[in-house]
Amino acid sequence: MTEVYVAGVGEIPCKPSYPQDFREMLFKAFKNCLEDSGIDVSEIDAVVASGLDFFEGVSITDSYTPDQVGGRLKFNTLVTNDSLNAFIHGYMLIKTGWFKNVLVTAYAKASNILNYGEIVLNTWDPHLIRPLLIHHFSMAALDAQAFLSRRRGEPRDLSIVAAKNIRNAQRNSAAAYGADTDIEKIESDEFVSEPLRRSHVARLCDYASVVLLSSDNRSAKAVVKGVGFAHGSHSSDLSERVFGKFAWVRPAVSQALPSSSRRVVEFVEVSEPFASTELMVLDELGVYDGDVLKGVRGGDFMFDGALPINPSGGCIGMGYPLNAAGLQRVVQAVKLLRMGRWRGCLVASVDGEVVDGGSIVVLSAG
Amino acid sequence: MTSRIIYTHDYLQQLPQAFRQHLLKNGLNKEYGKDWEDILNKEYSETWRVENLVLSHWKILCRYAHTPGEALAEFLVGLREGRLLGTRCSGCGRVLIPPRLFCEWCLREVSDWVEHSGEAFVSTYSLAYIGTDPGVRLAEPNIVAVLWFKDTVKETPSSKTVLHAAGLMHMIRECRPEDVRIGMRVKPVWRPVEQRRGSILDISHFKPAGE
Repeated sequence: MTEVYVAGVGEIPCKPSYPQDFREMLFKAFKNCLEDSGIDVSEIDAVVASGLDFFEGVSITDSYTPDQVGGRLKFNTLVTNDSLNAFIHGYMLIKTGWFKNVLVTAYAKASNILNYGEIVLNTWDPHLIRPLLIHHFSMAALDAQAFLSRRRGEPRDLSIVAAKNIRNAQRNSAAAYGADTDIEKIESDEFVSEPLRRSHVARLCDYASVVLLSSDNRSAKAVVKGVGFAHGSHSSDLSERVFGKFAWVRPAVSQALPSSSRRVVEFVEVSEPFASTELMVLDELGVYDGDVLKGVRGGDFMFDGALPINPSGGCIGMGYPLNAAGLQRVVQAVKLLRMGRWRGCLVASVDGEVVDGGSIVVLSAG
Repeated sequence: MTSRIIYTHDYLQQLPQAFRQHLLKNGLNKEYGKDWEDILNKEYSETWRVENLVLSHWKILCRYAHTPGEALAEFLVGLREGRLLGTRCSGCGRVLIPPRLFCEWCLREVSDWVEHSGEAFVSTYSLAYIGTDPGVRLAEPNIVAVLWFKDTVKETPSSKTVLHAAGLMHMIRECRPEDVRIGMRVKPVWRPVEQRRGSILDISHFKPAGE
């Protein structure tokens, strides 16, 4: 059976805005990836791009991807989904045996979006939800409230998560929003929509990253041990949504990792547009032995804890690059594995800020 | 054969001012032919050069005419009449509000219509200090809530995990923010008949029903 390796990763740091356009940003990330892998551009067989036209403001945005990432006149495909899902598509292409080296790309040019809240508003059912003009922060707050209620958590638990991630980001040169903060500072933030405070919400950023997957282990930086993807209940009017619980996580993690092997996960990178997202994913993952909320309060998820969660700083510390968040997490995971401190990790990414769906990838050191 | 495109008012509004004025002045705002494309390109390039733009602002107009579908059309008509309609699956017995004409659990068509009183309870809520613009803080929070309708919740017998509930997302008013809580009973407040138009906003809001 063909093994799939991460042969190289490249990114440009998260920033509130870049003067470069997305082509230029992607080109830099691509060059960094190529240098990291040591593979020649002629060896790349295919490109899988993650993109959402509503975010790009460009229709068929994938048509504009190949040139700057060495994909011209090669197999190209677009995954209109979070980029961890694009990563899984790249993985599957190699598994077919038809492709040897597949490039996965993602970028966010969030600074170019002038009415992001209104763009996201288009996600909802036009008859039942949109007329209410509810911001998606409030949608996430409904999840957070339901989760805390169900699990007997406190809003302060969200501040512990946010403070951890913002502090962790100080170690990460690719992070935009790292700071020496503490829980009390976060707790003094105003609410945007209870129980979510301003610092519980990841700020948007510009970002680009490229990952090279390969069936060749010559320059392996990490090994892909498993992948999984699932959706929970889906209806744009949210009538089937069970708030406060991510139904997608358990089936996705079951695909990616047998329950008997979950000890290989020594840290987790999870895209968390909201502090509550991190807790809700972790609560369903089954990789932590114990009560997740007690673990948060006890410091088990800190950088030096029993199971570090988002040691990179996560999206709250680094910046939230929209659909590029999944690949952003993969790049951080590979960087962390290469530090030599950990041997295996799990990467999880939601399909959007308030979507009950997402992807999971398990990596081990190369 | 030239293609002819009608300019809409909204489209004109987002064009650079000089270009818009040129179209209006020459009566070209109603339609244009292929010959006009050269002029259009020239106008744009001049605009960029004159103003030395670094960023190009372009507002995407998102306009759709959505078909609500058979079930939801019936639901919206019901709202206009002050009635809350749903469907019931004869297989699993679930009440579906908003209604569907299929049950994704049983994979069968659903045709039994039911009318609900609207009595509900708060499943989850948030005090929202923002509207559509997170940069603008509301003086008083909106109470955004998910409301599950009475006698529609299906749970697992053992763990009491909710498998299904018929419900709506809406606003709670006539309630102090500090008084709202999960499990609170609420009922709909309908707009006056003459103001209803077959919209979710025909229910003005929900208010506490008392314990």
